[in-house]
Amino acid sequence: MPQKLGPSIVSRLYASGGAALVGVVGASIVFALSTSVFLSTANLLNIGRQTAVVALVSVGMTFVIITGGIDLSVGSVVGLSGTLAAAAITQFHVGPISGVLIGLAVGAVVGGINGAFIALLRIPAIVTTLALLSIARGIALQSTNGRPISGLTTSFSFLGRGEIFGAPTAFIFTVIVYIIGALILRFTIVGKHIVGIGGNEEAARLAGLKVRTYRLGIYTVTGLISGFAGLVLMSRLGSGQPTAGAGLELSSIAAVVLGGTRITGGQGTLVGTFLGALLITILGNGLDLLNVGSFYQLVFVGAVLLAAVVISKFIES
Amino acid sequence: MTLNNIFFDPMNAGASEAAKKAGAEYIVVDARLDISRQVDGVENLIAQSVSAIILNPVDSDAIVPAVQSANKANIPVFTIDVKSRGGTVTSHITSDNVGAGRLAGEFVAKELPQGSKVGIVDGPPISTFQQRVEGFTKAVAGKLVIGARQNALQNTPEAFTAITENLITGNPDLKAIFAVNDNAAEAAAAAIESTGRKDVWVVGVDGIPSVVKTIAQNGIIKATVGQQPGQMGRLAVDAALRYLNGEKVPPEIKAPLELVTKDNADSFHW
Repeated sequence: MPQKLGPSIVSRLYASGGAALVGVVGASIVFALSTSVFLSTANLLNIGRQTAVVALVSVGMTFVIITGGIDLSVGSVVGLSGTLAAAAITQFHVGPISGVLIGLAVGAVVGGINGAFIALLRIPAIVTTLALLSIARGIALQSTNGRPISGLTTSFSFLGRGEIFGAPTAFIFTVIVYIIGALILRFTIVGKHIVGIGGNEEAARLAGLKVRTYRLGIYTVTGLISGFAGLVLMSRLGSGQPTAGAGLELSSIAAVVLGGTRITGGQGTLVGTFLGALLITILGNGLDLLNVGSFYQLVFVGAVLLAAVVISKFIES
Repeated sequence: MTLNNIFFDPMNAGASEAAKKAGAEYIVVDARLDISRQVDGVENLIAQSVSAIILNPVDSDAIVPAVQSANKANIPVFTIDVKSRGGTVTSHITSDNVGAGRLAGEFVAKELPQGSKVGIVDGPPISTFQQRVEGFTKAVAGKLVIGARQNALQNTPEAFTAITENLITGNPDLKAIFAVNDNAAEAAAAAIESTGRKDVWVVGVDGIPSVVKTIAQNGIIKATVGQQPGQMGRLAVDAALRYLNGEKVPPEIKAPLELVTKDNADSFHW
């Protein structure tokens, strides 16, 4: 481990999302006391639905950032997978299952291209994924002429608007993806390698880890999950929107950082990321309930992000 | 202007048709909703020494330097739909956005009992949306109470959906929602549907085909104020050509509007 000897309990708590947990609990208490509806079933369902997409995208982003990378293309992948799947379903009349597979494949292909350039050609991740951000968005806009694709049958509304046992389907799927991801990261040798690569890539390579294969795999999986998030969003909006997901790269990076993952890699947890994504959603939801203007909200979310990073700096030194 | 947009395409078609009829050459530059691209586009048109520039600004403020550059080159500028907050514009062709908000407000005030609470799903701060909200607010003043209002930071369904969910949950007594455009109206309707509320309905502005269809089928959207984008494009080219012929043109030209309800939804189209 590249960590200094004996990380303190405080820094370990922070790294596994302690600050985001404090934020989520604190914000929830404030909103529960200041509005009558924050804890109502209807509003908790809102929060579940509103968290799903950013939380899903943040899973891949966590893996990427832990290994010292970045993926700016996730938002565009969300838009592309949703529009191409919607086009396949409404215009080429493939069934809903084929539609889902197409959306997932689109995500995996874009992710794979990211991975190939980054791992095999060693192009910096920020440049590669910036290029794919533009390419994927361009394809989504061009292939739809910039118009939303509507006409999805209600059978497809299950993923984004449906409920299972009273909880939003999208949220349940999100939690499942988090559990799988967290188990891999925490308890498997693959997870240890991923953290090791982010901590010290050179040492990992000398120890015989297939760093390139890991990177290729991580970007591909990130694309795949973003593709899934795109399907969830398409189902939620009842249409394939070529502009969907714009800005998600920024909110998912914010969720990951709020969750205690080190932006330079080598440390991070999915529990933290989940709490980070939840915190961002809860702030937006609660401030909306209080009728706080969305321009103030931007300032507020930015300030929270800065505060989290400053706290982490103090804890680490 | 921005192309591949369900509203701007008929505008482009109307303008192009009017130019063709008059035998004028028509060059269109696609801004793709990107203000810096639009400013570049205006500069390129100036470099080509066109006789007149018709602009559909992406942003009222950020377009000002481009308008000033055209002024300096002595090329008359005409704007459609969104105003420039500076520079000299010969004529502005608009749907009268204050009027659109007023029509929507009058409809809601007529449908709801005195004193009912309504909400506004507002958009990013551009003059079009601000004027619609202004018109709506004036029309309902003294009749209805505006219980809540929120701005979506982007003009996208994602943003509109989330704020509508929060708006109607935070304000359970809202009876109707005024959405600043039909995209917002559709997103608001989807949000209302997913929260399972049956007692809230939506009024939009624009008259996009899918919303007009919903209105005809008695959907959650009860009315929209239909614009006539093709007409706006034609009016802009006509004004430019008249001006170049030495005629006087008014500084503001109002394009016709039409309130679309289920009574006339079948006969309305862009």
